[in-house]
Amino acid sequence: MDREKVLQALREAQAEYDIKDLDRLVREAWEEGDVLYAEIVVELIERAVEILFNQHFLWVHIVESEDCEEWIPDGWYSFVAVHPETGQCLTFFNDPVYRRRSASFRARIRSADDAVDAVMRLAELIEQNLKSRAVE
Amino acid sequence: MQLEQLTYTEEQIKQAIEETWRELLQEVDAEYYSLEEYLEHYRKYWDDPDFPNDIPEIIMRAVEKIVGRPLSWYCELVRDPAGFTGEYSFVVVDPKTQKCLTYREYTSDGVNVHRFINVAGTVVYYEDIVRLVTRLLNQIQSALTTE
Repeated sequence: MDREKVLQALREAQAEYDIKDLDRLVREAWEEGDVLYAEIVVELIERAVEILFNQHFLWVHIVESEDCEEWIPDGWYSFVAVHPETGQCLTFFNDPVYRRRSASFRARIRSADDAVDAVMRLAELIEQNLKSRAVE
Repeated sequence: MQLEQLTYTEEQIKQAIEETWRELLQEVDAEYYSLEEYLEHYRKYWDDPDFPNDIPEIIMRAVEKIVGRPLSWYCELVRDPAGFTGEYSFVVVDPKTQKCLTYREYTSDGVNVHRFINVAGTVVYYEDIVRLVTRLLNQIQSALTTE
Protein backbone atom coordinates (compact mmCIF):
# COMPACT_ATOMS: atom_id res chain seq x y z
CA MET A 1 0.00 0.00 0.00
CA ASP A 2 1.42 3.35 -1.08
CA ARG A 3 2.08 5.58 1.97
CA GLU A 4 1.36 8.75 -0.01
CA LYS A 5 -2.07 7.44 -0.98
CA VAL A 6 -2.76 6.57 2.64
CA LEU A 7 -1.79 10.07 3.76
CA GLN A 8 -4.03 11.57 1.08
CA ALA A 9 -6.96 9.35 2.14
CA LEU A 10 -6.48 10.38 5.76
CA ARG A 11 -6.37 14.05 4.76
CA GLU A 12 -9.65 13.62 2.85
CA ALA A 13 -11.25 11.88 5.81
CA GLN A 14 -10.01 14.63 8.13
CA ALA A 15 -11.56 17.24 5.83
CA GLU A 16 -14.90 15.41 5.91
CA TYR A 17 -14.88 15.44 9.71
CA ASP A 18 -13.37 18.93 9.88
CA ILE A 19 -10.36 17.68 11.88
CA LYS A 20 -7.46 20.12 11.63
CA ASP A 21 -4.86 18.40 13.80
CA LEU A 22 -4.89 14.60 13.59
CA ASP A 23 -1.96 14.12 15.97
CA ARG A 24 -3.65 16.19 18.65
CA LEU A 25 -6.95 14.34 18.25
CA VAL A 26 -5.29 10.93 18.52
CA ARG A 27 -3.15 11.94 21.49
CA GLU A 28 -6.04 13.53 23.38
CA ALA A 29 -8.15 10.42 22.80
CA TRP A 30 -5.46 8.40 24.54
CA GLU A 31 -3.71 10.76 26.98
CA GLU A 32 -6.93 12.33 28.23
CA GLY A 33 -8.87 9.10 27.92
CA ASP A 34 -11.60 10.82 25.91
CA VAL A 35 -14.08 8.28 24.56
CA LEU A 36 -15.71 10.73 22.16
CA TYR A 37 -12.34 11.61 20.59
CA ALA A 38 -11.48 7.91 20.43
CA GLU A 39 -14.72 7.22 18.54
CA ILE A 40 -13.80 9.98 16.06
CA VAL A 41 -10.35 8.38 15.60
CA VAL A 42 -12.10 5.12 14.72
CA GLU A 43 -14.43 6.86 12.26
CA LEU A 44 -11.44 8.54 10.60
CA ILE A 45 -9.53 5.28 10.21
CA GLU A 46 -12.56 3.50 8.75
CA ARG A 47 -13.39 6.37 6.41
CA ALA A 48 -9.77 6.67 5.19
CA VAL A 49 -9.83 2.95 4.31
CA GLU A 50 -13.11 3.39 2.43
CA ILE A 51 -11.64 6.32 0.50
CA LEU A 52 -8.66 4.15 -0.48
CA PHE A 53 -10.95 1.46 -1.90
CA ASN A 54 -13.57 3.91 -3.13
CA GLN A 55 -16.35 1.90 -1.53
CA HIS A 56 -18.24 1.53 1.72
CA PHE A 57 -17.81 -1.40 4.08
CA LEU A 58 -19.80 -2.60 7.08
CA TRP A 59 -17.86 -2.03 10.30
CA VAL A 60 -17.84 -3.09 13.93
CA HIS A 61 -15.16 -1.68 16.21
CA ILE A 62 -14.04 -1.56 19.79
CA VAL A 63 -12.37 1.35 21.55
CA GLU A 64 -10.41 -0.67 24.06
CA SER A 65 -9.83 0.32 27.68
CA GLU A 66 -7.82 -1.01 30.59
CA ASP A 67 -10.56 -0.23 33.04
CA CYS A 68 -13.93 -1.78 32.33
CA GLU A 69 -15.63 0.36 34.98
CA GLU A 70 -14.33 3.78 33.96
CA TRP A 71 -13.97 3.03 30.23
CA ILE A 72 -10.85 5.11 29.70
CA PRO A 73 -9.41 4.45 26.22
CA ASP A 74 -5.90 3.00 26.35
CA GLY A 75 -4.94 3.73 22.74
CA TRP A 76 -5.80 0.26 21.42
CA TYR A 77 -8.54 -0.25 18.87
CA SER A 78 -9.94 -3.24 17.01
CA PHE A 79 -11.94 -3.38 13.81
CA VAL A 80 -14.05 -5.83 11.85
CA ALA A 81 -14.91 -5.01 8.23
CA VAL A 82 -17.41 -6.93 6.12
CA HIS A 83 -18.09 -6.54 2.41
CA PRO A 84 -21.63 -5.16 2.04
CA GLU A 85 -22.47 -7.15 -1.07
CA THR A 86 -20.87 -10.55 -0.42
CA GLY A 87 -20.85 -10.72 3.38
CA GLN A 88 -17.15 -11.68 3.27
CA CYS A 89 -15.17 -10.78 6.38
CA LEU A 90 -12.36 -8.53 5.13
CA THR A 91 -10.36 -8.38 8.37
CA PHE A 92 -9.93 -12.15 8.54
CA PHE A 93 -6.42 -13.54 9.04
CA ASN A 94 -4.46 -16.43 10.55
CA ASP A 95 -3.17 -15.11 13.85
CA PRO A 96 0.28 -16.66 14.45
CA VAL A 97 0.42 -15.51 18.08
CA TYR A 98 -2.78 -17.19 19.25
CA ARG A 99 -2.63 -19.82 16.49
CA ARG A 100 -6.21 -19.25 15.47
CA ARG A 101 -8.14 -17.59 12.69
CA SER A 102 -9.08 -14.10 13.75
CA ALA A 103 -11.94 -11.99 12.45
CA SER A 104 -10.62 -8.68 13.74
CA PHE A 105 -7.73 -6.31 13.08
CA ARG A 106 -6.17 -4.72 16.18
CA ALA A 107 -3.91 -1.69 16.33
CA ARG A 108 -2.33 0.66 18.86
CA ILE A 109 -3.04 4.23 17.77
CA ARG A 110 -1.47 6.86 19.99
CA SER A 111 -0.12 9.34 17.44
CA ALA A 112 -0.73 10.51 13.88
CA ASP A 113 2.06 8.17 12.69
CA ASP A 114 0.29 5.25 14.38
CA ALA A 115 -2.92 6.27 12.60
CA VAL A 116 -1.16 6.24 9.22
CA ASP A 117 0.36 2.87 10.02
CA ALA A 118 -3.03 1.47 11.12
CA VAL A 119 -4.76 2.62 7.93
CA MET A 120 -1.94 1.15 5.85
CA ARG A 121 -1.99 -2.26 7.57
CA LEU A 122 -5.78 -2.41 7.67
CA ALA A 123 -6.00 -1.55 3.96
CA GLU A 124 -3.37 -4.18 3.13
CA LEU A 125 -5.30 -6.83 5.05
CA ILE A 126 -8.54 -5.91 3.27
CA GLU A 127 -6.75 -5.95 -0.09
CA GLN A 128 -5.37 -9.44 0.61
CA ASN A 129 -8.82 -10.73 1.55
CA LEU A 130 -10.43 -9.16 -1.50
CA LYS A 131 -7.77 -10.78 -3.71
CA SER A 132 -8.17 -14.20 -2.07
CA ARG A 133 -11.90 -14.02 -2.81
CA ALA A 134 -11.21 -12.96 -6.38
CA VAL A 135 -8.95 -16.01 -6.89
CA GLU A 136 -11.73 -18.36 -5.70
CA MET B 1 -21.21 -26.41 -2.74
CA GLN B 2 -22.47 -28.55 0.15
CA LEU B 3 -24.64 -26.46 2.44
CA GLU B 4 -24.58 -27.32 6.12
CA GLN B 5 -27.81 -28.06 7.94
CA LEU B 6 -27.73 -27.66 11.70
CA THR B 7 -30.13 -29.43 14.01
CA TYR B 8 -30.53 -28.53 17.66
CA THR B 9 -33.10 -28.47 20.39
CA GLU B 10 -33.31 -26.30 23.49
CA GLU B 11 -32.25 -29.31 25.51
CA GLN B 12 -29.09 -29.74 23.38
CA ILE B 13 -28.29 -26.06 23.73
CA LYS B 14 -28.58 -26.28 27.53
CA GLN B 15 -26.41 -29.39 27.49
CA ALA B 16 -23.77 -27.60 25.37
CA ILE B 17 -23.77 -24.67 27.84
CA GLU B 18 -23.35 -27.04 30.78
CA GLU B 19 -20.49 -28.91 29.05
CA THR B 20 -18.79 -25.62 28.27
CA TRP B 21 -19.09 -24.51 31.87
CA ARG B 22 -17.53 -27.76 33.12
CA GLU B 23 -14.65 -27.32 30.63
CA LEU B 24 -14.04 -23.77 31.80
CA LEU B 25 -13.99 -24.90 35.43
CA GLN B 26 -11.24 -27.37 34.56
CA GLU B 27 -9.22 -24.82 32.59
CA VAL B 28 -9.13 -22.05 35.15
CA ASP B 29 -8.67 -21.98 38.87
CA ALA B 30 -12.35 -21.25 39.34
CA GLU B 31 -13.87 -20.04 42.56
CA TYR B 32 -17.34 -21.04 41.40
CA TYR B 33 -18.91 -24.45 41.27
CA SER B 34 -22.06 -23.94 39.29
CA LEU B 35 -22.98 -21.67 36.43
CA GLU B 36 -25.81 -20.25 38.56
CA GLU B 37 -23.31 -19.35 41.27
CA TYR B 38 -21.06 -17.70 38.71
CA LEU B 39 -24.01 -15.73 37.32
CA GLU B 40 -24.88 -14.51 40.83
CA HIS B 41 -21.40 -13.03 41.12
CA TYR B 42 -21.59 -11.77 37.56
CA ARG B 43 -24.74 -9.76 38.33
CA LYS B 44 -22.98 -8.10 41.28
CA TYR B 45 -19.55 -7.49 39.79
CA TRP B 46 -19.88 -7.30 35.99
CA ASP B 47 -18.35 -3.80 35.97
CA ASP B 48 -15.44 -4.79 38.17
CA PRO B 49 -12.27 -4.80 36.00
CA ASP B 50 -10.92 -7.78 37.96
CA PHE B 51 -14.04 -9.88 37.54
CA PRO B 52 -13.40 -12.62 34.96
CA ASN B 53 -16.11 -12.17 32.38
CA ASP B 54 -16.51 -15.59 30.80
CA ILE B 55 -19.92 -14.96 29.22
CA PRO B 56 -18.69 -14.54 25.59
CA GLU B 57 -16.57 -17.70 25.91
CA ILE B 58 -19.49 -19.70 27.33
CA ILE B 59 -21.81 -18.54 24.57
CA MET B 60 -19.46 -19.12 21.66
CA ARG B 61 -18.09 -22.46 22.85
CA ALA B 62 -21.67 -23.68 23.23
CA VAL B 63 -22.42 -22.44 19.70
CA GLU B 64 -19.32 -24.21 18.36
CA LYS B 65 -20.32 -27.47 20.05
CA ILE B 66 -23.65 -27.42 18.24
CA VAL B 67 -22.11 -26.36 14.92
CA GLY B 68 -19.48 -29.07 15.36
CA ARG B 69 -16.40 -27.05 14.47
CA PRO B 70 -14.45 -23.93 15.55
CA LEU B 71 -15.62 -20.55 14.29
CA SER B 72 -13.85 -17.20 14.21
CA TRP B 73 -15.66 -14.74 16.42
CA TYR B 74 -15.42 -11.28 17.88
CA CYS B 75 -17.37 -9.93 20.82
CA GLU B 76 -17.91 -6.39 21.96
CA LEU B 77 -19.05 -5.68 25.50
CA VAL B 78 -21.39 -2.80 24.81
CA ARG B 79 -20.91 0.26 26.98
CA ASP B 80 -22.60 3.55 27.57
CA PRO B 81 -21.29 6.50 29.65
CA ALA B 82 -22.41 4.71 32.82
CA GLY B 83 -20.31 1.62 32.01
CA PHE B 84 -20.98 -1.88 30.73
CA THR B 85 -24.65 -2.28 29.77
CA GLY B 86 -24.82 -6.06 30.02
CA GLU B 87 -25.17 -6.32 26.26
CA TYR B 88 -22.85 -8.45 24.11
CA SER B 89 -22.44 -7.93 20.40
CA PHE B 90 -21.08 -10.87 18.40
CA VAL B 91 -19.63 -11.07 14.91
CA VAL B 92 -19.12 -14.69 13.77
CA VAL B 93 -17.10 -15.69 10.72
CA ASP B 94 -16.82 -19.09 9.04
CA PRO B 95 -13.06 -19.82 8.95
CA LYS B 96 -13.55 -22.13 5.96
CA THR B 97 -15.16 -19.55 3.68
CA GLN B 98 -14.48 -16.21 5.44
CA LYS B 99 -18.21 -15.58 5.21
CA CYS B 100 -19.61 -13.43 8.00
CA LEU B 101 -22.26 -15.73 9.46
CA THR B 102 -23.93 -12.95 11.42
CA TYR B 103 -24.37 -10.83 8.30
CA ARG B 104 -28.00 -10.26 7.33
CA GLU B 105 -30.05 -7.78 5.45
CA TYR B 106 -33.67 -6.85 5.27
CA THR B 107 -35.85 -4.21 3.77
CA SER B 108 -38.83 -2.73 5.54
CA ASP B 109 -40.16 -0.77 2.60
CA GLY B 110 -38.92 -2.68 -0.42
CA VAL B 111 -36.49 0.13 -1.28
CA ASN B 112 -33.99 0.70 1.51
CA VAL B 113 -31.81 -2.27 2.47
CA HIS B 114 -30.62 -2.48 6.07
CA ARG B 115 -27.52 -4.56 6.66
CA PHE B 116 -26.16 -5.86 9.97
CA ILE B 117 -23.04 -7.84 10.73
CA ASN B 118 -23.60 -8.52 14.42
CA VAL B 119 -26.05 -10.29 16.71
CA ALA B 120 -26.44 -8.67 20.10
CA GLY B 121 -28.23 -9.52 23.31
CA THR B 122 -28.22 -8.70 27.00
CA VAL B 123 -27.16 -11.34 29.49
CA VAL B 124 -28.32 -11.13 33.09
CA TYR B 125 -29.74 -14.59 33.81
CA TYR B 126 -29.14 -18.15 32.61
CA GLU B 127 -32.16 -17.96 30.31
CA ASP B 128 -30.54 -14.99 28.54
CA ILE B 129 -27.52 -17.16 27.69
CA VAL B 130 -29.81 -19.85 26.25
CA ARG B 131 -31.70 -17.19 24.29
CA LEU B 132 -28.53 -15.61 22.85
CA VAL B 133 -27.00 -18.97 21.90
CA THR B 134 -30.29 -19.83 20.18
CA ARG B 135 -30.37 -16.53 18.29
CA LEU B 136 -26.79 -16.99 17.15
CA LEU B 137 -27.48 -20.56 16.02
CA ASN B 138 -30.62 -19.52 14.14
CA GLN B 139 -28.65 -16.81 12.35
CA ILE B 140 -25.69 -19.13 11.62
CA GLN B 141 -28.06 -21.80 10.33
CA SER B 142 -29.66 -19.27 8.03
CA ALA B 143 -26.23 -18.15 6.74
CA LEU B 144 -24.94 -21.71 6.25
CA THR B 145 -27.97 -22.80 4.29
CA THR B 146 -27.93 -19.88 1.85
CA GLU B 147 -25.27 -19.25 -0.79
